[in-house]
Amino acid sequence: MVFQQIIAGIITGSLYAIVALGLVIAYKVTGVMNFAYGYMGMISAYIFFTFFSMIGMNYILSFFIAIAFGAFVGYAVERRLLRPVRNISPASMVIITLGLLLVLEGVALQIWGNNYQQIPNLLNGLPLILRFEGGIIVIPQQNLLILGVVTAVIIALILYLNLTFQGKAMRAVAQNEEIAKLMGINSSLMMSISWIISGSIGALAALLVAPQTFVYPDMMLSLQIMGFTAAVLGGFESIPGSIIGGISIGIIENLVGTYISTNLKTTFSLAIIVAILIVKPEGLLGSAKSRRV
Amino acid sequence: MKKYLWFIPFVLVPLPFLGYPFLLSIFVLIGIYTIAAIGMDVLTTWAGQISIGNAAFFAVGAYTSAILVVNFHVPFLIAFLISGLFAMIIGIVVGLPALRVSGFYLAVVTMAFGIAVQQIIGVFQITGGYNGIRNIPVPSFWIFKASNPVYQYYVVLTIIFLIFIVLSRISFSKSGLALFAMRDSEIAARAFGVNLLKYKLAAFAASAALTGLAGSLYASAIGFISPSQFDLTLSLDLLAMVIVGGAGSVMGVMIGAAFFVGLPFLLSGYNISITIIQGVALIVILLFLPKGLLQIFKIRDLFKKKVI
Repeated sequence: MVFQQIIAGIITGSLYAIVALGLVIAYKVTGVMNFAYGYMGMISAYIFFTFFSMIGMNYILSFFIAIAFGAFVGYAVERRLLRPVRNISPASMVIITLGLLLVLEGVALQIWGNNYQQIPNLLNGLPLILRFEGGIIVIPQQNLLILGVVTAVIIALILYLNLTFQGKAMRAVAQNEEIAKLMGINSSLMMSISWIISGSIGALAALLVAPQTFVYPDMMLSLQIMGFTAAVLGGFESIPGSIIGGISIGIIENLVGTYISTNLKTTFSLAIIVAILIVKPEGLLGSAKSRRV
Repeated sequence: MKKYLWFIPFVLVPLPFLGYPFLLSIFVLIGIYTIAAIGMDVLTTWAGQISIGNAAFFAVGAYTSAILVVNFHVPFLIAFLISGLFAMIIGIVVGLPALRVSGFYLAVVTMAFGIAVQQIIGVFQITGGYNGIRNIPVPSFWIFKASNPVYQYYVVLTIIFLIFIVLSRISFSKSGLALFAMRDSEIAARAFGVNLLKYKLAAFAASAALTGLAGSLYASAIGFISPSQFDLTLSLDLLAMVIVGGAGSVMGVMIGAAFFVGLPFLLSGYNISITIIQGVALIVILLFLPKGLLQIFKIRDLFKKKVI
């Protein structure tokens, strides 16, 4: 029973973790906290719905079209909306993404309406059943798919950022844009790439969660809130931080939901997270920053 | 607002004589949101703290007042004051973490508080669960005809005016200066002997109290409350009102509230999603009128050098 809940927690948590990752990458490279992140993913889920359910295209093909669209939205938002106004204050940037959130929500309502649209699981086979002395664990195939895809994305991202030249260049821009420019790095390109990665991760998260939540304009709200919380819990600066933040929130949420209260699941989970933040104000893996007066 | 004081006797006070009761009830709603948005303004623009959980204070005020009036038959005026007081106490508790965390971390803490309050209200019996509380009576101290929007309008207008007087007093006082110093640099403020503990808690307390009072008025003006009315969107809307109208000015906040509350009524006849317009307006105003819609009234500034 406990193991079953922990496994379920890891699977929910892995979704929180990639949402957190997408937020953190965009934030580290361009300095924008993207409030509209989940809603950008939501549009991709609708694109998938349009191609798969309305036009009747192949599942995999629609999946990749939707992710490509997510990447495009990420690029367009950064390059066309946020880049031209980079010099305004960070708080104003957050408000601009908040405005974008409202626009995206309205656009989805206008085009696809307010109905809950269903999209099927990719894998519908028998669940994986593990038996051992303490009991049994049941994992549906779709959840295994989520876990597999998320792990693959995280590993690919770590390899990309650490081993390729472009990944190193991106980290250099994240550390110090001016010096990276002086070293001949095309920082403008790196910013675009970071948002392309972020946008496609957001689309991926939306597509993975869509069979469970259905597709509707607010479908990504809770995932976005929890992803943001996960990023903050992890310190808002590193990949390991986001993963640990996401998975610990997923596990806390599932254990609280089973053993303390189903109705007040989110309340108790958030209370635990707030308690952690009060004890460790810079997050689990964040570093304390010194500020100039 | 001082420059715009003429606005009160010449525009706001005579408004009811135009004779559109429906329009007046919208103005009442605008006034109520103005009070809540002033609460947000005090916290963000004055004290430099972030909150995306202010809807919870609104909910606390609304529910306290509604439960007292419906279940315990307390006179509205007393319920109104108690709801402000209760919201203030909760505001102080929420403010405590702000002493340790800031920025995104404070945003998460306040957001967590907002979501938690919404969920707690939905669970308990006395708050009516997810169905909420219906048939909240119109307050009895609105002596003449209690349900008449004209009186509601003047009551709300008077409250806003009182808040304006108190706030403008504070902003020129020593406490106000200490608050602004804290916003600009906590370390520098502390070096000059500003007690951060006191002022941060005071900012949260004031913000919560104002928002709670607005919630109490909201409950009696609308007559029906349920947890879904006090979601994250409301907190973000309050923040957006402050920015759209003009941060740091009661008049600006009022314009922002009018924009956000009035727009849905103006566009209700057209088949266009309201959030698109609100979102575009938010972006455009932030880019071209960084001081909010209030800037339009300062016509001289428009001809000066462009800001961006």
